Amino acid sequence: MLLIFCFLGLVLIDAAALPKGVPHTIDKYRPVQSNQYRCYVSDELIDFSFVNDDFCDCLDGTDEPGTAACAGSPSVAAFWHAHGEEAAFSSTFYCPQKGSKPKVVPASEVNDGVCDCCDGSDEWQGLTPCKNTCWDEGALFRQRKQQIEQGIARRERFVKEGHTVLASVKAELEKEKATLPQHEATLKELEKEEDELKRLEAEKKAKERKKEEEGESQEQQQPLQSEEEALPPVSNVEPATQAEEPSPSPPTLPPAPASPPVQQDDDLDALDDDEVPTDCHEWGEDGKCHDKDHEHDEDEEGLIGEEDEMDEDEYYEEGEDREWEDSRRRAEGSPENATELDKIRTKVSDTRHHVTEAKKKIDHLEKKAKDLESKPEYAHLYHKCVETNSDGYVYEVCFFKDAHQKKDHHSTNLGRRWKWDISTGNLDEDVMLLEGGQSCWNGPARSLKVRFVCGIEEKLQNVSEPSRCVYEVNMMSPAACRPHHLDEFKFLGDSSQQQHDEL
Amino acid sequence: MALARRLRMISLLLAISTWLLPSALSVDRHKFKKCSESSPCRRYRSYISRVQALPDSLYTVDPSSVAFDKNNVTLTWTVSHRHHDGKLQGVLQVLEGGALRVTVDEVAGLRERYRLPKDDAIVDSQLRPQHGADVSVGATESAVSFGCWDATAKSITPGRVVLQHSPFKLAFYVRQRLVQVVNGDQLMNLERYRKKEEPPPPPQPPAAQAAAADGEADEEGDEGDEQQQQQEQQEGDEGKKEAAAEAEGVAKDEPEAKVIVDAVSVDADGAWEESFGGHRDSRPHGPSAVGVDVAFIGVEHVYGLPEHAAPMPLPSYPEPYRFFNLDVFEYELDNEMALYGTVPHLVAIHDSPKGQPPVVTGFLWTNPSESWAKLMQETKEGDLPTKYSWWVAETGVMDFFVFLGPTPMNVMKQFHSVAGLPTMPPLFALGKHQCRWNYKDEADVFDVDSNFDKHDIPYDVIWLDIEHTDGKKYFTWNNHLFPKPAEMIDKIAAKGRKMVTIVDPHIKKDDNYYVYRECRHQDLFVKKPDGTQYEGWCWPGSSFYPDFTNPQVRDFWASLFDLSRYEGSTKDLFIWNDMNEPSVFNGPEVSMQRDIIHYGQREHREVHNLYGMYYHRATFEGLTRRDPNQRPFVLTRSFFIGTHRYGYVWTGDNAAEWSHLEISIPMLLSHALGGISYIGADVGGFFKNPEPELLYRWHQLGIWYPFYRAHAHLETARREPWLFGQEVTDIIRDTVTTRYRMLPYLYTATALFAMRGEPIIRPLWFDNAFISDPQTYTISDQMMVGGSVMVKAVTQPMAKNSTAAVYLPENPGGWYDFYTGARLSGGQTHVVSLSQRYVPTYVRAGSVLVSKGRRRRSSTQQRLDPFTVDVYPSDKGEATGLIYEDDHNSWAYKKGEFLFQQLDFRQNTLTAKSLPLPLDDKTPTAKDFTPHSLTKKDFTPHNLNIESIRVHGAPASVSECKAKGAPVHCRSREEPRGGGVYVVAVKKPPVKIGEEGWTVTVGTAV
Repeated sequence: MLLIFCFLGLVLIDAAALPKGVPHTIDKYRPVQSNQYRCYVSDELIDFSFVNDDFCDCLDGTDEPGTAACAGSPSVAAFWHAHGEEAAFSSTFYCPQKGSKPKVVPASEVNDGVCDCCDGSDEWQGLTPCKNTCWDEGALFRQRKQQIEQGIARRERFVKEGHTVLASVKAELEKEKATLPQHEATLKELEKEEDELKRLEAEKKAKERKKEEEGESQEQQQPLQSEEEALPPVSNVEPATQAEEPSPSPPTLPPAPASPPVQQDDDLDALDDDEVPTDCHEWGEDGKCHDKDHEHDEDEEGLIGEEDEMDEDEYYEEGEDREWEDSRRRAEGSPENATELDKIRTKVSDTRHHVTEAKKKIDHLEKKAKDLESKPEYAHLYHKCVETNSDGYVYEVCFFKDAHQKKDHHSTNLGRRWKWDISTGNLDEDVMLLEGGQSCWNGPARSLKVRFVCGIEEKLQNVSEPSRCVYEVNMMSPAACRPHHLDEFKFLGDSSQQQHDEL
Repeated sequence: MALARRLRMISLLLAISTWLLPSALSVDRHKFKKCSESSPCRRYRSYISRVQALPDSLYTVDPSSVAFDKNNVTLTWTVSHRHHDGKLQGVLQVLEGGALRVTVDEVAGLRERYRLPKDDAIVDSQLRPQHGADVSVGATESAVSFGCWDATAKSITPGRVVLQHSPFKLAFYVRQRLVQVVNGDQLMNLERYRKKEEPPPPPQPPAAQAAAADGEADEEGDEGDEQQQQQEQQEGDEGKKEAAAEAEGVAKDEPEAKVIVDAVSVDADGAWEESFGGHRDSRPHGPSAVGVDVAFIGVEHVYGLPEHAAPMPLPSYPEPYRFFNLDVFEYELDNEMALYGTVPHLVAIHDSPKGQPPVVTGFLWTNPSESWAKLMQETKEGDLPTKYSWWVAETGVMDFFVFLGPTPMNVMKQFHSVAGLPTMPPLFALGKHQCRWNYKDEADVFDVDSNFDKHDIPYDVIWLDIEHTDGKKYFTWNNHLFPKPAEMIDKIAAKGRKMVTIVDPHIKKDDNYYVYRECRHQDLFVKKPDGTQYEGWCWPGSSFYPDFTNPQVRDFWASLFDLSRYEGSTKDLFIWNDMNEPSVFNGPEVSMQRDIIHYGQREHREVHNLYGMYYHRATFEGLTRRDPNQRPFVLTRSFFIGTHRYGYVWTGDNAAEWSHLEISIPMLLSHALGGISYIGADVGGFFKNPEPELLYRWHQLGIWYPFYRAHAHLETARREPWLFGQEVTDIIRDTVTTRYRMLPYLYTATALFAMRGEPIIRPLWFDNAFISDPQTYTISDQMMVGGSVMVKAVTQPMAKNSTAAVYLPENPGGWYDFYTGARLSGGQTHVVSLSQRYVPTYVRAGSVLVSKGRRRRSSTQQRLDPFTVDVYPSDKGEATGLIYEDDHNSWAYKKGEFLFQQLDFRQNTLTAKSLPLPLDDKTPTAKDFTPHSLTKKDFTPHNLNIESIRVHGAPASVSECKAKGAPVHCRSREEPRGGGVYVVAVKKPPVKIGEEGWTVTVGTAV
């Protein structure tokens, strides 16, 4: 114990130049002119020996940072009130708490017979014996510091990995973009070929019919598209259903979206929530929104949350292919009877599918690239979902996507559009804002603020509802660990040196 | 007779309403009796109007019976009744210091009339006769003349009582001036106990009385009003009244209709049985009321009579002030309704001929049964106004005191000479009390406690209301919410703070509850007339009520506070007594049936107003026994004469309304005039939610209450100081800091109250220097705290009025603004600008205030801090002040272990001299004012250093100061809020409180 104090004494030699109760960061407590102290704000000059002499001399009360002499002084309070501020150093005492975190206590607690600082520095008159518990208290800080250091290292990896992911997404995107024109050209040629064959076929049929029943049909002169449209009901071998039909060209087709209209701009706020699926995230091929939230909105009492929800990637690989194969089988009909036209039709269908696929993939990759662009260190959380319990509810956050509050079999959407919240102006703080959730009765649409907090284990914690229907949750993640987080642990000194100093 | 003429004025004057306060809350008036619904009061009122008409008085003194006992300085006489053979015994005792006691009782009555038990309310065994009185017994009158020794002024005031024989009348004189006349209008009514058959019931009177006789519980509300109107008419028109009396007929048979023995002869309804609110009162002993008229000569303004929510001075309401301790839910302001406690002490200011100071006297009605006091509008006869009044009690003897003053302070010292001196509280009682119904669990307690530290706001005591118990079984804890109460209290106490739990008198009917089991086993509960235990309904549901009028019950109760008996209690836990009127949810008027049987076969009606005091006393004795070295702290809601000996009182369940903040000053001051300076109103208001401005304004006033507690109803929003934003937190911190800074001053004022009976808070006129200024008589939003500080309540939001008009009485050197140091002249009204942080507060020029300048988390830590002495010189450059110090907690001061000093500033020099103090177990008398040895004990670890002496209103250039002849650092600077006013501060003079013979000179000695 004695040793500890000796070492503390050595370490504090520099600090000893400062009056008691002053943090190291304050350097105004130096004698000026002929050994005088200039009151911090009120600017009077007093004898330097008056500093911490247990008498409140300065109007601003700053001459007693190490005693309670100015605590509660009405003239000091009046001075600071007149300055529109609270009484800063005149009302607080700085405990160095070596080995733990320095602490600021009200000056009223200095030498009052109650130990308020772990180093007992607030009881420097020794009215009451205070045990030094800073090393134990500091263990928590050291542990935390260690975690942050690990977190920072891991974040660096996350950044690298994120960039790799981003690069591969971009590369794939480029590849897709590059091959798309080829596919499109092929498709065009095949379509031409198909048209030609159709024309020949038609002519051939017309001739045959002319021969058999002279001047019978005029309808066959109708535009091809119409003919084609009319075909499916009569012929099983028509290749694509309307829903599958990706071609935007035929104006008479129903307004099936050419591709999942993933919102390219983040500015969706202007959109009216009540007009159904303008803000849909997942568009079905039927032109309806497949976004499960919308279904929940329409039928909130129904079973929700438990349907299969496929990741976009899976969607392309499985769902799309399955449908496409069905249509393909239909198109192929019976191969032995396949005519030249049938064959070309199959080819057109195949190619058209490839083009659609490619376009979808491009959109998806473009979105992902855009999502990850600013903070690739969170790539490992892309569309990953985590949960936490709070007050009997389960909160589920799917990063870069949406969030839900669940209880029993009921699920409430807390946000279906995401963006990084930069409103705080603090670029070192990562806050993912999920907005546009279900509206509260007589209230706003729900939203959830996910605040990324530096931590080793990735988990959600501390759900709160600071105002009605506005939720907040902390997400512990190493990806949020930044070097400046160590700043608050500077008091621990160099971690390798620390142990030595203290023991 | 003169009364009739006076009464005629009443109806005119009634129209001039006095001080009407709006109130959003409203009491259910039908729950509570008016005079017309209480037979003793109703028939006394009828009797008054009948007796007025009689040609001859009813009572005369037998001159041959007048006798004087020189040893006891007691005059006795026998009173005969014109129409009755029974005699009455009158006794007048002249007591030391200017108090007079008069009792009138039946001789050889059928039943012994209830008298206050010896030493319970009045400290009979401490009463000392005023020797050296002269007596003259004549044919028409007898007189006693004496000198009242004023220990403070060290002077003798001549007093005289004249007993007029026929008709019986008592006249009281001080300094040769007639001040009070008792039975001057011959309104005395003493209903002798009788056999039920004795007077056959009179014929049914017409109209209203018939309705009352049916005992209808739920009579229409306007029925009473009709009676009221009728009453006023009766009072207002004598001739008509006489005619009515003729028509009504009275006594046994028609020929004797005019024979009036007592009020029962006039109206026998309800004399043997009465109902109210569906409750029947069996009245087995029949009527036994006592009443009399009292005239205050030369008086326009009267004060006191707690507890009523009435302004100052007391208005002469159409209805009499009622004294019947009740749990009144959401009480209304500005009326005569009874509240939780009773001290029927009236203080009157008697005008004097020009050039002479007014004389102030007191009248104390000690009867503990339901009482009524009717104040009449004053009338002028010649130059002198007179305030007439009548007083009536349901039963018991006539027993009253007259205090001859002649100063307000003399009156209060005379009051305490008969009601006992207050008990010195521990210092923490003066700290901030933090209460709420309810701090819900241990975590909540710790959270609130640590938030006070975090926000640097001092407080001393955190309170737990009824929810802390297991099912409202007092002395138990809810184990889920408070699993480790003793540890919790220890943790709070480690910071020098205390805790308080509530303990109410109703005992839950629960065989698993030890208090219930033991009380039942020992037969300690009050009983119904049939001898079975009385069961009522209160917080826990079905409950029983220990009979605290029984010394054995009090003894048992006291034993419950033993640390081994009260589980989870520690020496740092103190007690709050509530619901001790007693409150019975399903009883008449939310209290106990009057025919309930108490100790000594006394009926509840005879002891009702004592119950709350006895309960409080039992708790006080419990804490005394628990820790004989610790002064107890017990708060009570119900009270009676003498409650000040057991601790603190608060004004009950008020509301978060500006009007309730406003009424707190007149209410607290009326308590103070009833000897209860240990008083406060719940800061913030109990019911409803205060807006932040009301909350901090209330704190700004509440810091000057002798008892400063923040409290709130269960259903209100949390209102700890930090919950309203930084600004409000800062304001409240500064405000609370002021309270703590002034604790040495307040503690000194408390010691002067406890040891000399000087009220802590006072109306402006209370001061001898201001008593001649009639402007001070009607100010009810300002009060003096001690003799030097004056505060004004800000009773409106700033948006409504951002200024306040403050009247400062004439004072040599005027007044200093407490916050800015600015000097204002006295004898005029100043309109001052308010701000959030500023409320008008003044120090009287000529004062020296001793304070502790440093903020600490509680009063405990302040022991270690040095004192600050503030000098506010008069126009002659002089000032004086007192400082009392002791160990703050124990009784060692009674052994002389205290410091008591007078600090004098004269010719720029401050000196200190030690003073003697009478000890608080004795009535102050002349011999106590001979100095005796002081300061036997060194108060380590108390810090007795003076860190600073500040002289306000000083010249700007002072820079040379001397302490004990040697130079000491000092400097002159402008007061913090400017105004060209300077204060010189002497830094750390090497002098101490408690030391003598030192001098500190500021500037050059003149």
